[in-house]
Amino acid sequence: MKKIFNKLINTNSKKYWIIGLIVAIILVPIILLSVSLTVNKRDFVLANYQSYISPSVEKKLAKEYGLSFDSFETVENAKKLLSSNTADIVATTSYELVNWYNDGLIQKLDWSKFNIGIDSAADALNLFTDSVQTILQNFDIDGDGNKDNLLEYGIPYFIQDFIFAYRGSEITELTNAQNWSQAIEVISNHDRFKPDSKPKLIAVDDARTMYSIPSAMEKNGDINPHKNETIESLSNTLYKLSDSINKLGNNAIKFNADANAVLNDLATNNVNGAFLFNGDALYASYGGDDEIVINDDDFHIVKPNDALVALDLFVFNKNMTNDNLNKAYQVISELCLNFNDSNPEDTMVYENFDYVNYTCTLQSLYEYVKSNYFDNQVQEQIFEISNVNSNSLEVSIDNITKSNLSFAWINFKNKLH
Amino acid sequence: MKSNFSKWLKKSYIAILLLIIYVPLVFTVIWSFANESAKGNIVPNPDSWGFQNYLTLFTDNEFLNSLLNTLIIVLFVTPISVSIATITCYAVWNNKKSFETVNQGLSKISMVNPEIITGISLTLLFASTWLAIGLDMGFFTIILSHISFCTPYAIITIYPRMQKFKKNLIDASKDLGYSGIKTFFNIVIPYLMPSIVGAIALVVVMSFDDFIITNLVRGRVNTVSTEMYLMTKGIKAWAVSFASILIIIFIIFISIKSFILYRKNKKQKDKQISKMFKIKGIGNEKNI
Repeated sequence: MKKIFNKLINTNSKKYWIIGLIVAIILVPIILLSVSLTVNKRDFVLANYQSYISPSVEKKLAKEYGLSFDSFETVENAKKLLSSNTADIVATTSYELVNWYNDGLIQKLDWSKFNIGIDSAADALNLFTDSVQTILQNFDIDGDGNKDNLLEYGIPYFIQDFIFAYRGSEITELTNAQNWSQAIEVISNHDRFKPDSKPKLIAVDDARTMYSIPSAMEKNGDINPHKNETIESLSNTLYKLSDSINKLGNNAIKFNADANAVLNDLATNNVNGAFLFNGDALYASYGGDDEIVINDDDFHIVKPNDALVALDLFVFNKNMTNDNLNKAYQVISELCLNFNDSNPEDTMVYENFDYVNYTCTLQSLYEYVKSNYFDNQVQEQIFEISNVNSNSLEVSIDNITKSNLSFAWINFKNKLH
Repeated sequence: MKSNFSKWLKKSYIAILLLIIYVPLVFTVIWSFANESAKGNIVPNPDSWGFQNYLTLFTDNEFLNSLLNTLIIVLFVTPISVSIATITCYAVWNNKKSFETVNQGLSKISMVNPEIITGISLTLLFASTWLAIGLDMGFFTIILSHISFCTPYAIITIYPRMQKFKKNLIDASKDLGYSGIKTFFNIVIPYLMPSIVGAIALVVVMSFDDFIITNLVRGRVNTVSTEMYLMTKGIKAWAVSFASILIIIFIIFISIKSFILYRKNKKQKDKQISKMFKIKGIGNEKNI
């Protein structure tokens, strides 16, 4: 090799160099292209939120179906994975499913292919809890003015509601609060949540989720912004919450985009109260990442009847290959639908729930978990979701309203003392 | 007392600065031995310590795949970027002054341009060309993107040394019968070698570490950076373990390199001293 190289550089003929250059220009892209097409190919990909599927389940699915996994931060980013054909199965929310249908990104499901003895989406409704059924039948997918069945296009995964959890002895007025107005009234006047040298309240740093609280307070339970609502109007709604929190004093609340940090602060008692999703509250009640032992009478929740409820579903990419489509039905069947309560711990559905610990959507699993899984009543209460009405469901909002809400959120934070 | 303190500060402020830089790295290595939580996160108060994180790291297929992908990308990007940069630097140096100004300016534009802008422009380019002919984004698009943003950095690293190169060395080489190509490989490249090594190190790190551009053009390919940057729920134990391995490797590498340099310098110094004594006729150095 060295001889050839020395011969090359010692030659006075330019001809060899020109030939070499042309060969390199042709060869290098061919080599790059072949690497691109062959090495480490991820043919079959499931995209999900992070830590939203059990690692042991991932390994089993990877081994059995050659499934690879991808993650995304927000459901808006997930759309890019669909549109660029990066993922075949994608997790989404109920309102985003409608958007993706309208954008022509997802395909209609054939429920007979799940091999669970169900042939249609209409029959499949009964597989799921009442709350989930309410959500599934609440959206008009095709814009014809009639409510459709989301099961035509999606398979429910987990459901969650946005609640308030607090440490210390039970505050009766708070536990009995029926709606966010009553809950916020108690929270904003209670000494337990007044800051000392640091805030005693924490919340997820998410404008849309937190907006649901003052929106429900102001609009009689409606958690959604109106179409093309201005920054001023959205800010004024959010100020209802900031005005209440400011009664507690300066630096009363902190925000964190990482839900894990929120639940760990609550679990370690760095804060006395947290606004978070019920699945995170459940993990906090177990002691969070530190697995701190928390007494039953030291952890409580408030579930207002106008709390935001979110349903996550899996959808199939419209451009999936047939081979992947067949595998996708089997994967989802194992991951979301096949539960056997005579041997529950042998099922992937149960194994996955055991890790994720959000409220399951499958009726049979829900009943089994409610009866057998939890150590105490508080954990059971966190797990249950029963108050679902159309006002408590997020709907799709246009980009202008999304942008206005971001600005309104900044105004809200600036208004906090 | 004040003068003692200021004396001490003058002697040790660099050590203090380095300590501030390296303390987080030390913490990373320490925490990599804290066993992970149920959700696979590193926790501030672990109940046990051990090597479990390292054992699970090398059995995690998703991580191993992403690491392999990253190494393949770096393997392709580095020689191509550095070769293009070296040839560019030589060509610019060998040409009119105006070319130098233009080249410097264009390289700097690429460097000061926010990565997100570069990423979006590359995505649009690939969408209108690569995707339009029915191919998917993946290794090819990642490698091309990395070459495009790493090459200016390699140019900026190599060019200062190129500027100091004496033109009369080229003339002398030609007078002695060397062709242009021979001169380039036998005279210019050895002269530029320290900068080329520096450029290689820079390109490797930048390509290994890049997330913004990679995430936009990666298609179905995952890399270590995309796996790490998409951690949204806590800091995963595998990320801390992997970071710790990299830190230890670099510390060992730098230590070995420093030791070799130290030995080399010491030998040279000893040689010089013995030469000096021989010239002055003081006797052999063994008597000193």
